[in-house]
Amino acid sequence: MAILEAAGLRKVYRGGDGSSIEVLAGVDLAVQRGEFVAIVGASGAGKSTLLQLLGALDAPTAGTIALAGELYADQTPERLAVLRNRKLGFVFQFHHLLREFNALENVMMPLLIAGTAPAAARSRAEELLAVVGLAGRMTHRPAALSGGEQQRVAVARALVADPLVLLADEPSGNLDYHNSELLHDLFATLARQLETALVVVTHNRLLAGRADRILAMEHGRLLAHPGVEAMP
Amino acid sequence: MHPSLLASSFRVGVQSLRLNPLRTVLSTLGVVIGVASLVAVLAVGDGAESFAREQIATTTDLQTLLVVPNTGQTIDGIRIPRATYPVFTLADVDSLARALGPRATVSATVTGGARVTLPGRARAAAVMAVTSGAEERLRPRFAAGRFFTAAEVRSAERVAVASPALATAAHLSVGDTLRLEGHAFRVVGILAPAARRVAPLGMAALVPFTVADSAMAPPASPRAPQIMVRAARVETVDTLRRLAERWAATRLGPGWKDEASIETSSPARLVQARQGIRVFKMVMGAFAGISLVVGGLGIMNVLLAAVTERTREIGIRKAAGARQRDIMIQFLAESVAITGAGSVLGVVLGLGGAFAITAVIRSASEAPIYAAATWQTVAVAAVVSIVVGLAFGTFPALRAARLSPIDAIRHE
Repeated sequence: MAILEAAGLRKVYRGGDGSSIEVLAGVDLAVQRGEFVAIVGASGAGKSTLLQLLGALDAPTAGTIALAGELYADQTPERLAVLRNRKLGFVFQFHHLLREFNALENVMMPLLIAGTAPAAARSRAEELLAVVGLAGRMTHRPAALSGGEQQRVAVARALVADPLVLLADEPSGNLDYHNSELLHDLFATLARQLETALVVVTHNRLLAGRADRILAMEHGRLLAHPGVEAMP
Repeated sequence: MHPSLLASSFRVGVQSLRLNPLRTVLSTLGVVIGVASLVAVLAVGDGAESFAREQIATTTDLQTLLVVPNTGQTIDGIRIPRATYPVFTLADVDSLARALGPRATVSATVTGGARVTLPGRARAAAVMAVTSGAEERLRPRFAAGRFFTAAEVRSAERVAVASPALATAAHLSVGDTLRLEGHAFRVVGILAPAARRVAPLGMAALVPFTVADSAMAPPASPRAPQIMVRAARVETVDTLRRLAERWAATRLGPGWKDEASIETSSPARLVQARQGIRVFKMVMGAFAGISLVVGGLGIMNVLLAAVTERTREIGIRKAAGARQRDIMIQFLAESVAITGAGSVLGVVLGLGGAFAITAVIRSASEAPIYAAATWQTVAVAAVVSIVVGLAFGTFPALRAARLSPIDAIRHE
């Protein structure tokens, strides 16, 4: 059974002048537990929109999404927040760390929201920061970290509550080769170790090459992709 | 909501304040300035009002009502003494005081003269027998000792307060014996030479109302004590007059107007004084209102800007699973901390400012005006700060928390 399932997803954005643009025109997707899916496609094809809908960060115009059998449309905003907190992890392209908080506090944040005792949240966050290779940078604020380190903190934050699905939107888009590879290794290892399903939107051939399955977003629909060899 | 979740959201709020000291200090400063300006205006206004009231109370008789027995009547322009008239007693003073309540001080006075026994030659002194409530009216200043107490009046103690002239002539100190009409009176107080409100100021003694007969030479007809009512505020004089008239009707019967008169300053002067106070209060009220709006807007702007710029942060928290109420509690905690600390500092600063302003006014005008720190001022400032602070510290957060996480994150 698929852990994450989307059917007939549509998303239409409306402009202030009454015009509208259909970004997703009926997307179907099923992701299995522990599966690593890469979504590729041209800029503006709707990849990020799809990921945001899957992450319950925005609502679709039509269609359904279910996580572990729970339909998003059936959830109250409260329940949806709990779902984001406990079952989903999201890595943004621009990390979106809270700049006043240090690395450790940023990673602890989802656990504190969940009501975990601070001591337990701290030890879990320290553990994950060590896994992403930032044991020595825990007390540093985002501004004092490199781009790659910031992104690794964001990965640790997304994984800290042991989600069923990790969604990442061009996580290595702003990183150099070395840092990208570090991050890709991290994704592959963590997904395998934690049995977390991974849906990654990427332009990076190396990252897509590590996926179990590559899908292409074209004209608002998801299609099977022939493989990294066909990527530009 | 589970207490640990509440505590957690609250902790996040407090942590957020700690981690952004500049924003916290600036927001708190906005509240401090708003509250301080409001408190300063209110405290200076209250001080100026009590100065004005003090002036009316000490330099005019506007707040005084006299209940005077009619010892004579004027017919065809000729004053004819009355054979009988009411003689007010201590019991009358008490019952009128009860009828008027806490809005007034009631005292009784009877005046006369006494021979004073001094070695060598005979002297005389004016004697004023009063109840202890007269101290409030006379406001005597003492060179030594004190005024006599209510208990001493009630138990008819032979005690006396001597004028400076009498004290000098009789070489009196506190504790000495003064002989009036041959009766020994223990001196409990000697007035200071500047006690100018006590009349007469020559050779004079004040004694308890209840020992008038032994302190004064016997009169040709029964003494006719007057009852004096001192209103706490000039606005209550009319009410007190009505209550005193009702009391007189009960005490003296329906025809009381033949027996006694109730005298006040001319109604025109009373109206004038009341008008002055009302205008003053309205002007100060307008100042306070302006300061309230300016202070409130200051607090509102600072918090509105501080919270609105954090819409992206709210989006990130929502993406990580924060619910609307988690966001609300976090910002509520922040607002409570900021408005609480800002209010306390603002009250202190505002009162300090008010005392400084009145010190400058005093030195420039020599008018004894002091800022008044009342609990009402503090309460008004606290309520304004808390209501405005909580409303504008949490309303923009609520608005942001209602956005979808992605819209909030995209907010510029």
